[in-house]
Amino acid sequence: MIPKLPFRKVLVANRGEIAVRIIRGLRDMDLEAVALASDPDQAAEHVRIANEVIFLPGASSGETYLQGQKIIELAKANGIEAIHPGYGFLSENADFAAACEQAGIIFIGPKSDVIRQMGDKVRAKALMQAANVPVVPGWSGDANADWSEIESAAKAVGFPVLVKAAAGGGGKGMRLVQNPNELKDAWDSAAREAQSAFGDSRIFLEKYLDRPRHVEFQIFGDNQGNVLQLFERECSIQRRHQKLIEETPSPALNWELRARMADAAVKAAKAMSYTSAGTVEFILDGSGNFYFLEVNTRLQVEHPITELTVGQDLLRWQLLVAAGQALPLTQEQIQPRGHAIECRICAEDPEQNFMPSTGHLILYRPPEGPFIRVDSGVREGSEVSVYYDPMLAKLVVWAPDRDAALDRMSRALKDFVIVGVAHNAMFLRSIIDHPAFRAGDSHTHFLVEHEIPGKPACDNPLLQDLALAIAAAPKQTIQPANEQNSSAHPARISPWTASDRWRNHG
Amino acid sequence: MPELKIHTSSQTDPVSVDWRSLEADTFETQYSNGKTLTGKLHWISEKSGLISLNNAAGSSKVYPFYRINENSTTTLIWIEGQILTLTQPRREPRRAGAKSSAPSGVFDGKLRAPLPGKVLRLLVKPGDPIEAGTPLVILESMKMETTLTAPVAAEIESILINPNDLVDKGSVLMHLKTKP
Repeated sequence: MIPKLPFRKVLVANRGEIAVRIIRGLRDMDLEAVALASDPDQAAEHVRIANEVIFLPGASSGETYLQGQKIIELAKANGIEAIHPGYGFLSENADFAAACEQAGIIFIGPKSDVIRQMGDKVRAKALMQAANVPVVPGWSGDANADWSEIESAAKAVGFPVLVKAAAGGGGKGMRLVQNPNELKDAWDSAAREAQSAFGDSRIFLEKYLDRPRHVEFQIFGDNQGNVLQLFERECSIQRRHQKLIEETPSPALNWELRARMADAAVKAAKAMSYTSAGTVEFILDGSGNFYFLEVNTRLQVEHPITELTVGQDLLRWQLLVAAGQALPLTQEQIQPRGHAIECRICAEDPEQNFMPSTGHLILYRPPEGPFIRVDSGVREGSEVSVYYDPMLAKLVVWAPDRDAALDRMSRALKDFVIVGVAHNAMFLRSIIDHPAFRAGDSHTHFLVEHEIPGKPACDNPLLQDLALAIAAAPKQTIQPANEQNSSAHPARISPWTASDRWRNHG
Repeated sequence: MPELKIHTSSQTDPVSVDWRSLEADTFETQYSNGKTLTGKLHWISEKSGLISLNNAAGSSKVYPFYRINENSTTTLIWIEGQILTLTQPRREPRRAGAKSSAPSGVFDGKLRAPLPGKVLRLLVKPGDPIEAGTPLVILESMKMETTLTAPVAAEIESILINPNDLVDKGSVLMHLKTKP
């Protein structure tokens, strides 16, 4: 049954796979989905599947999807009643959320003051500490601290140390510093990146834990004061702090540890009076100690693995909460089943140090089969431009247990056909098939420690011989024997192939 | 007999392939390195096809493939999740006395953009002496920073770009004067 909501026309202020996923979800609920399209995105997949589109002139993110004021003006002029920000872009921009609230447009996400509080990693940490949620040791002095103070603070925390942007997220504006003489460069470059990505260059320091796991909890709150946790996602497989593979449940948690972490996540959510979907991120060391990292006040990239194990549509829940309704389930009704894994398929060349790859998708054939979900932002024929994030799709699989899910993911990655841009599917597959990953021994330094090759089987001599044979194979179409017979039937011949045939036999 | 070069990390010598269609979809390929391969080409269309190879046990292993002719000399083959790039080496008539172009792998003094992007920051100025590995320029592409470093020890001869310029893949960013 489709619930009655106080809004019908929803603008999706995003692009790529998350815009596609949200637009589909809106249409599933019979709402009007309105897409935004920059100049390079006029023919993009999220525009093709929307009910309406609003054009945003310009190409770069700064000129288009980050233009909060312009988007709100366009929304008002077009009768938009609610805005879903997706992830990235304006999703964690408190000013944008507040401007929506002021303009009388429902912002589908948490309240702007909660976004502001959690967007400031320094304030967030202080709030969590006060709520008895364990936090990582570190230093966050004031923005005007002189350099000698920062240097001695870094020494006090101890090297290696993490340099992080106060406004950061998704690995942007974050640097690992091994020794004191690298600190200045890392600090400046993180500040520069943070300024360009978030418009805020404040930096803080955090103790760097050796081989930790990244384990996060999905939380959900409503305006009636209900808070739920939807269990964990392990996102330890990262390259330069960017998540690549996520899974749930985490192979590192037993039910005792899971209960303690879930309790901390719920405490964190209650401390902020959290509403809508959010994620409480922790790092977990080898002895079962966990520390609060940050709260992501948005629907995360990796939300589908939670959707598959708890059997719920989290976008639908976001819409219900935004409409002022209570969460549809109680904590006891949420029972995760089986195992889900997500791989992020990115246009990055593993053979060239993961340099972003642009181009035209000559072939794009996602894998199929039971319990496979592909959230694509592109289709065959799409252009992958230099302007936006290189993620093409999220490949998500489910199975009753972890081994079966890994086998399914390995198969699906092999079946994923992408030609036109370099991508990381086979690189991801060599992680999925790696004995240490199979054994559940993942940590955030996994890729550095195991030196995963970019393209494992490319030097297989049989594949090379086959490729040469295929290149030398006839240029004209040869049909399967049974189709040749059936096409002799006059009714099945198109005039074009028929004329070819006559010419051949002329 | 087309001569093809297959681009992988290990093999770089061009190989000639001779394709012969035999009866009942069977084909045989002979390679200039002495190898042969026999199989069946079940079907082939504009972009895709299916080959099978006999196993010792009597069944056949199937290899679905995609074949994209990127241009007149480059073909992309998708097989078993891999993409292999094959090129037909151009046979340019060598003019007597003409100086052959620098062999690949030798730096030609031009620093090129390996990817399209925006120039974020210049880290050197003309006249600077640089060592191999010295960071020269930071490009931003797809919201990520890429630092280009000097391939060889040299001196910065000239810089052709300014911060915030948009550069295409392959465009020359700097001239480097290599030490003799």
